[in-house]
Amino acid sequence: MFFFNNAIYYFGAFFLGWGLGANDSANVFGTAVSSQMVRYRIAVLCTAFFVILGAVIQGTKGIETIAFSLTEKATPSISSVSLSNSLESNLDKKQIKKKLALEKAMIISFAAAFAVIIMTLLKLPVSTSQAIVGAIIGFGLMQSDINISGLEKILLCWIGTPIGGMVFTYIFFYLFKAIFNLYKPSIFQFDALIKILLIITGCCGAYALGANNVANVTAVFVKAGTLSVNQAAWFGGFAIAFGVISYSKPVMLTVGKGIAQLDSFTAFITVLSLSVTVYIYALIGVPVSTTQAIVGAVLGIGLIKGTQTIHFTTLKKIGIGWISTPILAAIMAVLAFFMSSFNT
Amino acid sequence: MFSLNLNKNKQLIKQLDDLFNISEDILTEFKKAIFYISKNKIDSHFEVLVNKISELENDADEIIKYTKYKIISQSLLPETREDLLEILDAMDNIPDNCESAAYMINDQQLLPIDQIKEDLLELVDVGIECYKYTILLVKDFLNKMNELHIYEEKIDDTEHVGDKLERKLIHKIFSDDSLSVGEKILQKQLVKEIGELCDISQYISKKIITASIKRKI
Repeated sequence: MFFFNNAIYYFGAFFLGWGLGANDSANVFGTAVSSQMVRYRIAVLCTAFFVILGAVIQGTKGIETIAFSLTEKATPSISSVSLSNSLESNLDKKQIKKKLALEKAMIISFAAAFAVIIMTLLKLPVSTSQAIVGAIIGFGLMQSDINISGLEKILLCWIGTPIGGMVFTYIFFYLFKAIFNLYKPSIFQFDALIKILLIITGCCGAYALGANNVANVTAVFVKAGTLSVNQAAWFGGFAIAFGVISYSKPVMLTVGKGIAQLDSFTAFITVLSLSVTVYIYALIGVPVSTTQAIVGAVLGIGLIKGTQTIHFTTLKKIGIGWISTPILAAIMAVLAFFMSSFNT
Repeated sequence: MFSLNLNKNKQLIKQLDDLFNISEDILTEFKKAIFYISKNKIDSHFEVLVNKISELENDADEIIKYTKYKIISQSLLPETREDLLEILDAMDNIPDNCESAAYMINDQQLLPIDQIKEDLLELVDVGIECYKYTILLVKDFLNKMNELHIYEEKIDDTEHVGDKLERKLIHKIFSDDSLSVGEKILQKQLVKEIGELCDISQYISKKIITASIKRKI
């Protein structure tokens, strides 16, 4: 009942989940769909289903990391963030505290969502993981409430994501090359096999996306104490899946083509590497960016095939996006904090 | 799903086999027609042979059309689809070329001159041999791709022999003072048309080798 009465507060999270689904599903099936190896309808249905599955089965650990590791206070005190004093006279203290926590969660979600929008408008690669963590840190800074050890773990994982993608690409490329060269399938067998492998790895990628990234969408509400970890996983899973179903086509077609010109085999290897990398981080419980994982994987292919295939301008853009996304989200959260303070 | 895909692909392989068979039939009929006019004149029997070639060429066109449709509607990877369509288009030129040469002889009443008859028959044989290697190359491309370079080499060698023969024939035509310039040009056109068989085979072979390099992991 509390959820329905406060639906507006969850809109920011749903919006963020929608954007994440619309954008990041391209990393999972983009290459296969844009090059017509897998039909869009199949890709969307598989992604939506496996995102929810991943979020519900293995998304809880990431939610706990985001909810409880970055800041130390469970919920904000009434004195520290007085966002809605008009309600104070009507509600008891417990409800006010919950309301304030919910407003904090909403501010963080919107700050992250706006950072994502601004970066998208600037045509820079954006990571929702970085945006939400940046927003939490920005807001935490204003309340002098930052857990450095939790932040260190996340920063290390961010650096490790593209490196992981690259390393797994190296391993899988040579492993599957050896298998294919040993078995030597005919071109018709190869086509059938690679299509099935692309769908399977795409589903694994979608599962890893749900398991890893659901925390970005709803963890702040767990922190606020308005959603349980399981509720957050279901809500976040559905928000991402809605984004996948409603708006992933244009992104899939453009992003899939934009990352790099990959053939069917290298497309399979990059998605497999992405899935494994992101899944490992889901097990650790740190939300990471699928974009950075696939960029690392594609870079790995570039290094295998020769450095002349690497597009350094794109790399520079990715680097800028990587650094500026959390900073921008933190700034947005700080601005939102001040704006909400002026209202009180 | 995997077996479903493979069953669909088996139908496509059967279509391609039909195309190879009909192309060989056309070449056999074409050889018969050239042998016939080298010993006889252009008559109703030759016309029957030309009509047979034309019918076979129509059948080949139908098969190619149907195979292209199959390739487009089939669950193949785009790169495979593109390569197969290009190879099919190139293979379509062999029946077209035979029909065109047969029509040229029949419609223009163009009998090869005595001085080139023997070498012209040899050129037809070389063209047929070259195309047979091409069929083996295509079959190997559709399978394990183990012997592509062996067939490529054989096609190149045969095409080289064909080229030499073609030049020899053209030289003979233009050395004959009894022929008018117009007759010389027509004879040369006939030689070029038949010599084209080797060139088309080599073109298909290059396409296949490129496609196989693209597919190399």
